[in-house]
Amino acid sequence: MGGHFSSLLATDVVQGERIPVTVLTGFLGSGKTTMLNRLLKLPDLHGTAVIVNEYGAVGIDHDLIAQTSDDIVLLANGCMCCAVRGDLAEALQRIAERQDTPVRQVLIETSGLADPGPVLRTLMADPGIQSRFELAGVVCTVDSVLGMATLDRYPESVRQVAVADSLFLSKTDLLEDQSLLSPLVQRLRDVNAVAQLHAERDRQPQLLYEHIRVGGNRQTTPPEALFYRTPFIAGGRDTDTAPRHRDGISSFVLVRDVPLPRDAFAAWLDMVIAMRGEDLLRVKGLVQQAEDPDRPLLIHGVQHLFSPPELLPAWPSADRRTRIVFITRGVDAEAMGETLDVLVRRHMRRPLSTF
Amino acid sequence: MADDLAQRAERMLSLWSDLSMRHVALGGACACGTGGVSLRLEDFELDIVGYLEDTGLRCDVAEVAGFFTALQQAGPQDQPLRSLLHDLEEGRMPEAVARWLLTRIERTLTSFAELHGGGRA
Repeated sequence: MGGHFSSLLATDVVQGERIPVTVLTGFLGSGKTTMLNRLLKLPDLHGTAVIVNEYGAVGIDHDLIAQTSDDIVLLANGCMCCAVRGDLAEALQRIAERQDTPVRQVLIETSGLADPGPVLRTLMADPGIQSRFELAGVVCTVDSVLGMATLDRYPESVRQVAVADSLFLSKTDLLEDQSLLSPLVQRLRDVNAVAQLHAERDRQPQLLYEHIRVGGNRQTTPPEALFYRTPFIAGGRDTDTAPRHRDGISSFVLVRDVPLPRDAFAAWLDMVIAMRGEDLLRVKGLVQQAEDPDRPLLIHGVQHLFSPPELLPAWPSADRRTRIVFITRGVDAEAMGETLDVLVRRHMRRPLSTF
Repeated sequence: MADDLAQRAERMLSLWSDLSMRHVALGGACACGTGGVSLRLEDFELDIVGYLEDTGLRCDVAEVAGFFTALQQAGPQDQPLRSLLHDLEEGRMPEAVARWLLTRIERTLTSFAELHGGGRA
Protein backbone atom coordinates (compact mmCIF):
# COMPACT_ATOMS: atom_id res chain seq x y z
CA MET A 1 0.00 0.00 0.00
CA GLY A 2 3.01 2.24 0.51
CA GLY A 3 2.07 4.22 3.60
CA HIS A 4 4.14 5.07 6.63
CA PHE A 5 3.58 1.89 8.59
CA SER A 6 3.92 -0.41 5.58
CA SER A 7 7.24 1.18 4.75
CA LEU A 8 8.45 0.56 8.31
CA LEU A 9 7.35 -3.07 8.09
CA ALA A 10 9.05 -3.48 4.74
CA THR A 11 12.40 -2.14 5.91
CA ASP A 12 12.81 -5.22 8.08
CA VAL A 13 15.35 -3.48 10.26
CA VAL A 14 16.68 -5.63 13.04
CA GLN A 15 16.98 -3.34 16.03
CA GLY A 16 19.95 -3.97 18.24
CA GLU A 17 20.05 -3.25 21.93
CA ARG A 18 18.82 0.30 22.41
CA ILE A 19 18.91 2.63 25.36
CA PRO A 20 15.48 3.07 26.97
CA VAL A 21 14.33 6.67 27.29
CA THR A 22 11.62 7.75 29.70
CA VAL A 23 9.98 11.12 29.34
CA LEU A 24 8.96 12.86 32.57
CA THR A 25 6.23 15.38 31.99
CA GLY A 26 3.72 17.24 34.16
CA PHE A 27 2.34 20.72 34.41
CA LEU A 28 4.09 23.64 36.13
CA GLY A 29 4.13 23.07 39.86
CA SER A 30 2.93 19.49 39.61
CA GLY A 31 5.99 18.13 41.40
CA LYS A 32 8.35 17.13 38.58
CA THR A 33 11.36 18.77 40.16
CA THR A 34 10.66 17.23 43.54
CA MET A 35 10.16 13.84 41.92
CA LEU A 36 13.39 14.20 39.98
CA ASN A 37 15.37 15.17 43.05
CA ARG A 38 13.93 12.28 45.01
CA LEU A 39 14.96 9.95 42.20
CA LEU A 40 18.44 11.45 42.13
CA LYS A 41 18.86 10.68 45.81
CA LEU A 42 18.59 6.95 45.19
CA PRO A 43 21.90 5.27 46.00
CA ASP A 44 22.93 3.73 42.70
CA LEU A 45 22.10 5.47 39.46
CA HIS A 46 25.21 4.44 37.54
CA GLY A 47 24.41 4.33 33.87
CA THR A 48 21.48 6.72 34.21
CA ALA A 49 21.46 9.98 32.30
CA VAL A 50 18.96 12.73 33.01
CA ILE A 51 18.26 15.43 30.46
CA VAL A 52 16.71 18.59 31.82
CA ASN A 53 15.77 21.87 30.23
CA GLU A 54 18.00 24.08 32.33
CA TYR A 55 19.80 23.38 35.58
CA GLY A 56 18.51 26.58 37.06
CA ALA A 57 14.93 25.75 36.33
CA VAL A 58 15.21 22.26 37.66
CA GLY A 59 17.31 23.04 40.68
CA ILE A 60 19.17 19.83 41.25
CA ASP A 61 20.17 19.74 44.90
CA HIS A 62 23.74 20.98 45.24
CA ASP A 63 24.46 18.37 47.86
CA LEU A 64 24.07 15.68 45.22
CA ILE A 65 26.46 17.13 42.67
CA ALA A 66 29.93 15.66 42.44
CA GLN A 67 31.32 17.31 39.34
CA THR A 68 30.28 19.63 36.53
CA SER A 69 31.71 20.15 33.07
CA ASP A 70 30.20 21.98 30.10
CA ASP A 71 26.58 20.93 30.01
CA ILE A 72 27.04 17.79 32.06
CA VAL A 73 26.59 17.45 35.79
CA LEU A 74 27.80 14.29 37.45
CA LEU A 75 26.14 13.28 40.67
CA ALA A 76 27.80 11.40 43.48
CA ASN A 77 25.57 8.39 42.86
CA GLY A 78 26.76 7.99 39.28
CA CYS A 79 23.89 9.75 37.56
CA MET A 80 24.73 12.12 34.74
CA CYS A 81 22.57 15.18 34.13
CA CYS A 82 22.65 17.09 30.90
CA ALA A 83 21.02 20.40 30.14
CA VAL A 84 19.26 20.91 26.84
CA ARG A 85 19.57 24.41 25.56
CA GLY A 86 18.54 23.62 22.03
CA ASP A 87 18.41 20.39 20.19
CA LEU A 88 17.29 17.33 22.12
CA ALA A 89 18.66 15.06 19.42
CA GLU A 90 22.10 16.57 19.86
CA ALA A 91 21.96 16.07 23.60
CA LEU A 92 21.06 12.41 23.13
CA GLN A 93 23.87 11.91 20.64
CA ARG A 94 26.34 13.49 23.05
CA ILE A 95 25.19 11.12 25.77
CA ALA A 96 25.37 8.09 23.51
CA GLU A 97 28.92 8.94 22.45
CA ARG A 98 30.34 9.31 25.92
CA GLN A 99 33.07 6.75 26.46
CA ASP A 100 33.74 7.36 30.12
CA THR A 101 30.27 6.48 31.43
CA PRO A 102 28.25 4.01 29.37
CA VAL A 103 24.61 4.98 29.56
CA ARG A 104 22.01 2.29 30.26
CA GLN A 105 18.90 4.45 30.55
CA VAL A 106 17.84 8.04 30.01
CA LEU A 107 15.23 10.24 31.65
CA ILE A 108 14.13 13.40 29.85
CA GLU A 109 12.35 15.99 31.93
CA THR A 110 10.19 18.27 29.83
CA SER A 111 9.18 21.83 30.52
CA GLY A 112 5.97 22.14 32.51
CA LEU A 113 4.21 23.99 29.75
CA ALA A 114 5.36 21.67 27.01
CA ASP A 115 3.26 19.34 24.99
CA PRO A 116 5.34 16.14 25.18
CA GLY A 117 4.43 15.27 21.58
CA PRO A 118 7.48 16.90 19.95
CA VAL A 119 9.85 15.13 22.36
CA LEU A 120 8.22 11.81 21.58
CA ARG A 121 8.38 12.53 17.86
CA THR A 122 12.08 13.32 18.09
CA LEU A 123 12.63 9.92 19.66
CA MET A 124 10.69 8.21 16.91
CA ALA A 125 11.45 10.19 13.80
CA ASP A 126 15.16 10.95 13.94
CA PRO A 127 16.96 7.96 12.38
CA GLY A 128 20.15 8.66 14.33
CA ILE A 129 18.22 8.67 17.59
CA GLN A 130 15.91 5.83 16.72
CA SER A 131 18.76 3.41 16.08
CA ARG A 132 20.29 4.01 19.52
CA PHE A 133 17.37 4.90 21.76
CA GLU A 134 13.88 3.58 22.32
CA LEU A 135 10.98 5.17 24.12
CA ALA A 136 10.46 3.26 27.34
CA GLY A 137 7.46 5.31 28.36
CA VAL A 138 6.02 8.57 29.57
CA VAL A 139 5.59 9.45 33.22
CA CYS A 140 3.40 12.39 34.21
CA THR A 141 3.18 14.04 37.61
CA VAL A 142 -0.21 15.38 38.66
CA ASP A 143 -0.80 17.71 41.59
CA SER A 144 -3.34 16.04 43.88
CA VAL A 145 -4.54 19.36 45.23
CA LEU A 146 -4.57 21.59 42.16
CA GLY A 147 -4.70 18.94 39.44
CA MET A 148 -8.41 19.25 38.75
CA ALA A 149 -8.26 23.02 38.28
CA THR A 150 -5.17 22.69 36.10
CA LEU A 151 -6.92 20.18 33.85
CA ASP A 152 -9.87 22.55 33.60
CA ARG A 153 -7.76 25.53 32.60
CA TYR A 154 -4.83 24.22 30.59
CA PRO A 155 -5.31 21.91 27.59
CA GLU A 156 -1.55 21.19 27.65
CA SER A 157 -1.97 19.47 31.00
CA VAL A 158 -4.70 17.25 29.54
CA ARG A 159 -2.40 16.21 26.72
CA GLN A 160 0.39 15.46 29.19
CA VAL A 161 -1.94 13.13 31.08
CA ALA A 162 -3.32 11.63 27.88
CA VAL A 163 0.02 10.41 26.54
CA ALA A 164 1.34 9.05 29.84
CA ASP A 165 2.00 5.41 30.65
CA SER A 166 2.21 6.19 34.35
CA LEU A 167 0.62 8.95 36.40
CA PHE A 168 2.31 9.91 39.66
CA LEU A 169 0.03 11.78 42.04
CA SER A 170 2.07 14.33 43.97
CA LYS A 171 1.33 16.22 47.19
CA THR A 172 -1.09 13.60 48.47
CA ASP A 173 0.26 14.40 51.93
CA LEU A 174 -1.30 17.86 51.64
CA LEU A 175 -4.80 16.45 51.32
CA GLU A 176 -6.73 16.54 54.53
CA ASP A 177 -8.98 13.76 53.39
CA GLN A 178 -7.79 11.11 50.94
CA SER A 179 -11.33 10.68 49.65
CA LEU A 180 -10.86 14.07 47.98
CA LEU A 181 -8.66 12.24 45.48
CA SER A 182 -11.57 10.31 43.98
CA PRO A 183 -12.89 12.97 41.58
CA LEU A 184 -9.36 13.63 40.29
CA VAL A 185 -8.66 9.93 39.86
CA GLN A 186 -11.93 9.56 37.95
CA ARG A 187 -11.02 12.53 35.76
CA LEU A 188 -7.60 11.05 35.02
CA ARG A 189 -9.16 7.69 34.23
CA ASP A 190 -11.56 9.36 31.83
CA VAL A 191 -8.73 11.06 29.98
CA ASN A 192 -6.36 8.10 30.08
CA ALA A 193 -7.77 4.82 31.24
CA VAL A 194 -4.70 2.81 30.38
CA ALA A 195 -2.04 4.58 32.43
CA GLN A 196 -0.88 3.10 35.71
CA LEU A 197 -1.69 5.33 38.64
CA HIS A 198 0.70 5.72 41.58
CA ALA A 199 -0.45 7.61 44.65
CA GLU A 200 1.85 6.20 47.35
CA ARG A 201 4.33 9.00 47.88
CA ASP A 202 7.07 6.96 49.55
CA ARG A 203 7.31 4.39 46.79
CA GLN A 204 7.33 6.83 43.89
CA PRO A 205 11.11 7.36 43.46
CA GLN A 206 11.72 3.61 43.32
CA LEU A 207 8.76 3.12 40.98
CA LEU A 208 10.11 5.84 38.72
CA TYR A 209 13.51 4.18 38.72
CA GLU A 210 11.95 0.84 37.84
CA HIS A 211 10.01 2.55 35.09
CA ILE A 212 13.05 4.08 33.46
CA ARG A 213 14.79 0.70 33.45
CA VAL A 214 11.88 -1.27 32.02
CA GLY A 215 12.61 -0.63 28.36
CA GLY A 216 15.94 -2.36 28.64
CA ASN A 217 14.49 -5.25 30.51
CA ARG A 218 11.41 -6.08 28.48
CA GLN A 219 11.79 -9.84 28.66
CA THR A 220 11.25 -9.83 32.40
CA THR A 221 8.60 -7.16 32.43
CA PRO A 222 5.29 -8.41 33.79
CA PRO A 223 2.73 -8.56 31.00
CA GLU A 224 0.41 -6.13 32.68
CA ALA A 225 3.15 -3.53 32.64
CA LEU A 226 3.73 -3.95 28.94
CA PHE A 227 1.52 -1.14 27.82
CA TYR A 228 -1.74 -2.37 29.24
CA ARG A 229 -3.60 -1.25 32.27
CA THR A 230 -5.20 -4.56 33.17
CA PRO A 231 -8.55 -3.36 34.52
CA PHE A 232 -9.27 -1.60 31.27
CA ILE A 233 -9.30 -4.81 29.30
CA ALA A 234 -9.92 -7.36 32.01
CA GLY A 235 -12.85 -9.71 32.24
CA GLY A 236 -12.15 -11.87 29.22
CA ARG A 237 -13.65 -9.35 26.86
CA ASP A 238 -13.17 -10.29 23.27
CA THR A 239 -14.56 -7.11 21.84
CA ASP A 240 -13.30 -3.57 21.71
CA THR A 241 -13.58 -1.70 24.98
CA ALA A 242 -16.16 1.02 25.27
CA PRO A 243 -14.42 4.28 24.50
CA ARG A 244 -14.01 6.93 27.15
CA HIS A 245 -14.31 10.58 26.31
CA ARG A 246 -13.17 13.52 28.34
CA ASP A 247 -11.62 16.88 27.58
CA GLY A 248 -11.66 16.18 23.86
CA ILE A 249 -9.64 13.00 24.37
CA SER A 250 -11.03 9.57 23.65
CA SER A 251 -9.25 6.41 24.69
CA PHE A 252 -10.12 2.85 23.81
CA VAL A 253 -8.59 -0.55 23.21
CA LEU A 254 -9.16 -2.31 19.93
CA VAL A 255 -9.26 -6.07 20.53
CA ARG A 256 -9.29 -8.83 17.94
CA ASP A 257 -9.46 -12.56 18.67
CA VAL A 258 -8.62 -13.68 15.17
CA PRO A 259 -5.05 -13.17 13.92
CA LEU A 260 -4.84 -10.32 11.44
CA PRO A 261 -3.29 -10.68 7.98
CA ARG A 262 -0.11 -8.63 8.08
CA ASP A 263 -0.81 -6.72 4.87
CA ALA A 264 -4.37 -5.97 5.94
CA PHE A 265 -3.32 -4.59 9.27
CA ALA A 266 -0.53 -2.52 7.73
CA ALA A 267 -2.84 -1.17 5.02
CA TRP A 268 -5.43 -0.23 7.60
CA LEU A 269 -2.91 1.51 9.83
CA ASP A 270 -1.46 3.33 6.80
CA MET A 271 -4.94 4.59 6.07
CA VAL A 272 -5.64 5.61 9.65
CA ILE A 273 -2.31 7.42 9.91
CA ALA A 274 -2.96 9.21 6.64
CA MET A 275 -6.48 10.21 7.61
CA ARG A 276 -6.22 10.91 11.32
CA GLY A 277 -2.51 10.91 12.16
CA GLU A 278 -2.73 14.32 13.79
CA ASP A 279 -5.32 12.99 16.21
CA LEU A 280 -3.47 9.87 17.31
CA LEU A 281 -1.88 11.10 20.52
CA ARG A 282 -0.50 7.65 21.35
CA VAL A 283 -0.96 4.22 19.86
CA LYS A 284 0.62 1.18 21.43
CA GLY A 285 -0.14 -2.46 21.25
CA LEU A 286 0.54 -6.03 20.41
CA VAL A 287 -0.71 -7.47 17.13
CA GLN A 288 -1.22 -11.15 16.43
CA GLN A 289 -0.32 -11.62 12.80
CA ALA A 290 -1.89 -14.46 10.84
CA GLU A 291 1.48 -15.26 9.27
CA ASP A 292 3.31 -15.54 12.58
CA PRO A 293 0.76 -15.96 15.37
CA ASP A 294 3.28 -17.13 17.97
CA ARG A 295 5.23 -13.89 17.93
CA PRO A 296 3.47 -10.61 18.66
CA LEU A 297 4.23 -7.49 16.72
CA LEU A 298 4.86 -4.61 19.07
CA ILE A 299 3.70 -1.29 17.65
CA HIS A 300 4.09 2.18 19.00
CA GLY A 301 3.15 5.50 17.46
CA VAL A 302 2.75 9.15 18.27
CA GLN A 303 0.55 11.07 15.86
CA HIS A 304 1.63 10.19 12.32
CA LEU A 305 5.00 8.79 13.35
CA PHE A 306 5.51 5.20 14.33
CA SER A 307 8.57 3.39 15.59
CA PRO A 308 9.71 0.48 13.47
CA PRO A 309 7.46 -2.36 14.64
CA GLU A 310 9.23 -5.00 16.65
CA LEU A 311 8.56 -8.73 16.43
CA LEU A 312 8.83 -10.06 19.98
CA PRO A 313 10.12 -13.61 20.46
CA ALA A 314 7.01 -14.68 22.41
CA TRP A 315 3.77 -13.45 23.92
CA PRO A 316 4.24 -11.94 27.36
CA SER A 317 1.19 -13.79 28.75
CA ALA A 318 -1.39 -16.40 27.83
CA ASP A 319 -3.51 -13.69 26.25
CA ARG A 320 -2.59 -13.74 22.56
CA ARG A 321 -5.27 -11.43 21.27
CA THR A 322 -4.45 -8.36 19.28
CA ARG A 323 -4.83 -5.44 21.69
CA ILE A 324 -4.11 -1.91 20.62
CA VAL A 325 -4.49 1.06 22.92
CA PHE A 326 -5.54 4.29 21.24
CA ILE A 327 -5.36 7.64 22.99
CA THR A 328 -6.84 10.05 20.50
CA ARG A 329 -8.28 13.44 19.93
CA GLY A 330 -11.82 12.50 19.05
CA VAL A 331 -11.24 9.45 16.88
CA ASP A 332 -14.26 7.18 16.90
CA ALA A 333 -13.60 3.69 18.25
CA GLU A 334 -16.32 2.02 16.23
CA ALA A 335 -15.09 3.60 13.03
CA MET A 336 -11.65 2.21 13.69
CA GLY A 337 -12.92 -1.32 14.29
CA GLU A 338 -15.30 -1.27 11.35
CA THR A 339 -12.71 -0.08 8.85
CA LEU A 340 -10.19 -2.60 10.12
CA ASP A 341 -12.71 -5.38 9.48
CA VAL A 342 -13.29 -4.15 5.93
CA LEU A 343 -9.54 -4.09 5.27
CA VAL A 344 -9.16 -7.60 6.69
CA ARG A 345 -11.90 -8.72 4.32
CA ARG A 346 -10.02 -7.09 1.45
CA HIS A 347 -6.89 -9.07 2.12
CA MET A 348 -8.76 -12.32 2.60
CA ARG A 349 -10.13 -11.78 -0.88
CA ARG A 350 -6.71 -10.85 -2.26
CA PRO A 351 -3.97 -12.83 -0.55
CA LEU A 352 -1.32 -10.64 -2.15
CA SER A 353 -1.27 -6.92 -1.55
CA THR A 354 -2.56 -5.28 -4.71
CA PHE A 355 -2.96 -1.67 -3.73
CA MET B 1 -42.09 2.83 6.44
CA ALA B 2 -40.88 2.15 2.91
CA ASP B 3 -40.37 5.88 2.47
CA ASP B 4 -38.14 5.92 5.52
CA LEU B 5 -35.98 3.15 4.07
CA ALA B 6 -35.85 4.88 0.72
CA GLN B 7 -34.72 8.11 2.34
CA ARG B 8 -32.02 6.36 4.31
CA ALA B 9 -30.86 4.63 1.16
CA GLU B 10 -30.77 7.93 -0.67
CA ARG B 11 -28.64 9.46 2.09
CA MET B 12 -26.23 6.55 1.92
CA LEU B 13 -26.05 6.78 -1.86
CA SER B 14 -25.21 10.43 -1.54
CA LEU B 15 -22.60 9.72 1.15
CA TRP B 16 -21.00 6.98 -0.95
CA SER B 17 -20.95 9.20 -4.03
CA ASP B 18 -19.08 11.77 -1.97
CA LEU B 19 -16.76 9.30 -0.23
CA SER B 20 -15.87 7.36 -3.35
CA MET B 21 -14.42 10.47 -4.95
CA ARG B 22 -12.10 11.18 -2.05
CA HIS B 23 -8.42 10.39 -2.04
CA VAL B 24 -6.23 9.36 0.84
CA ALA B 25 -2.65 10.56 0.51
CA LEU B 26 -0.56 7.89 2.13
CA GLY B 27 2.42 9.38 3.84
CA GLY B 28 1.83 12.71 2.20
CA ALA B 29 1.90 14.59 5.48
CA CYS B 30 4.64 12.48 6.90
CA ALA B 31 8.21 13.39 7.73
CA CYS B 32 9.41 9.84 7.10
CA GLY B 33 10.11 10.48 3.45
CA THR B 34 7.27 8.34 2.11
CA GLY B 35 5.04 10.17 -0.27
CA GLY B 36 3.33 10.33 -3.57
CA VAL B 37 1.09 7.30 -3.02
CA SER B 38 -2.60 7.73 -2.70
CA LEU B 39 -5.72 5.63 -2.89
CA ARG B 40 -9.33 6.35 -3.57
CA LEU B 41 -12.03 5.24 -1.22
CA GLU B 42 -13.84 3.96 -4.32
CA ASP B 43 -11.23 1.18 -4.29
CA PHE B 44 -12.94 -0.22 -1.21
CA GLU B 45 -16.32 -0.77 -2.83
CA LEU B 46 -15.81 -4.49 -3.46
CA ASP B 47 -14.40 -4.95 0.03
CA ILE B 48 -17.31 -3.22 1.70
CA VAL B 49 -19.78 -5.41 -0.16
CA GLY B 50 -17.67 -8.49 0.56
CA TYR B 51 -17.64 -7.56 4.23
CA LEU B 52 -21.42 -7.11 4.24
CA GLU B 53 -21.78 -10.41 2.43
CA ASP B 54 -19.65 -12.29 4.97
CA THR B 55 -21.62 -10.82 7.84
CA GLY B 56 -24.95 -11.42 6.11
CA LEU B 57 -24.21 -15.05 5.35
CA ARG B 58 -23.42 -15.64 9.03
CA CYS B 59 -26.38 -13.72 10.46
CA ASP B 60 -29.40 -15.26 12.14
CA VAL B 61 -31.98 -13.81 9.78
CA ALA B 62 -32.66 -16.48 7.20
CA GLU B 63 -33.97 -13.96 4.68
CA VAL B 64 -30.73 -11.99 4.84
CA ALA B 65 -28.55 -15.07 4.51
CA GLY B 66 -30.69 -16.20 1.57
CA PHE B 67 -30.33 -12.81 -0.08
CA PHE B 68 -26.55 -12.93 0.06
CA THR B 69 -26.43 -16.53 -1.13
CA ALA B 70 -28.42 -15.46 -4.18
CA LEU B 71 -26.14 -12.44 -4.62
CA GLN B 72 -23.09 -14.67 -4.61
CA GLN B 73 -24.65 -16.98 -7.16
CA ALA B 74 -25.42 -14.05 -9.44
CA GLY B 75 -21.67 -13.46 -9.79
CA PRO B 76 -19.54 -10.32 -9.63
CA GLN B 77 -20.82 -6.99 -10.87
CA ASP B 78 -19.48 -3.50 -11.33
CA GLN B 79 -20.17 -1.00 -8.56
CA PRO B 80 -21.96 -3.53 -6.35
CA LEU B 81 -22.47 -1.13 -3.45
CA ARG B 82 -24.04 1.49 -5.64
CA SER B 83 -26.26 -1.20 -7.12
CA LEU B 84 -27.39 -2.38 -3.68
CA LEU B 85 -28.17 1.18 -2.65
CA HIS B 86 -30.18 1.79 -5.82
CA ASP B 87 -32.18 -1.38 -5.13
CA LEU B 88 -32.80 -0.19 -1.58
CA GLU B 89 -33.82 3.24 -2.77
CA GLU B 90 -36.26 1.77 -5.28
CA GLY B 91 -37.74 -0.61 -2.71
CA ARG B 92 -36.67 -3.68 -4.65
CA MET B 93 -35.74 -5.68 -1.53
CA PRO B 94 -37.75 -7.50 1.13
CA GLU B 95 -38.16 -5.19 4.12
CA ALA B 96 -36.26 -7.42 6.56
CA VAL B 97 -33.28 -7.54 4.22
CA ALA B 98 -33.48 -3.82 3.53
CA ARG B 99 -33.49 -2.95 7.23
CA TRP B 100 -30.58 -5.23 8.03
CA LEU B 101 -28.56 -4.09 5.04
CA LEU B 102 -29.15 -0.38 5.53
CA THR B 103 -28.15 -0.53 9.16
CA ARG B 104 -24.89 -2.24 8.22
CA ILE B 105 -24.16 0.06 5.29
CA GLU B 106 -24.81 3.10 7.45
CA ARG B 107 -22.37 1.86 10.06
CA THR B 108 -19.65 1.08 7.53
CA LEU B 109 -19.92 4.21 5.41
CA THR B 110 -20.23 6.45 8.43
CA SER B 111 -17.06 4.84 9.77
CA PHE B 112 -15.12 5.68 6.62
CA ALA B 113 -16.60 9.16 6.61
CA GLU B 114 -15.72 9.64 10.27
CA LEU B 115 -12.12 8.63 9.70
CA HIS B 116 -11.71 10.63 6.55
CA GLY B 117 -13.50 13.71 7.72
CA GLY B 118 -12.73 13.57 11.41
CA GLY B 119 -16.39 13.47 12.23
CA ARG B 120 -17.06 16.49 10.07
CA ALA B 121 -18.33 14.47 7.12
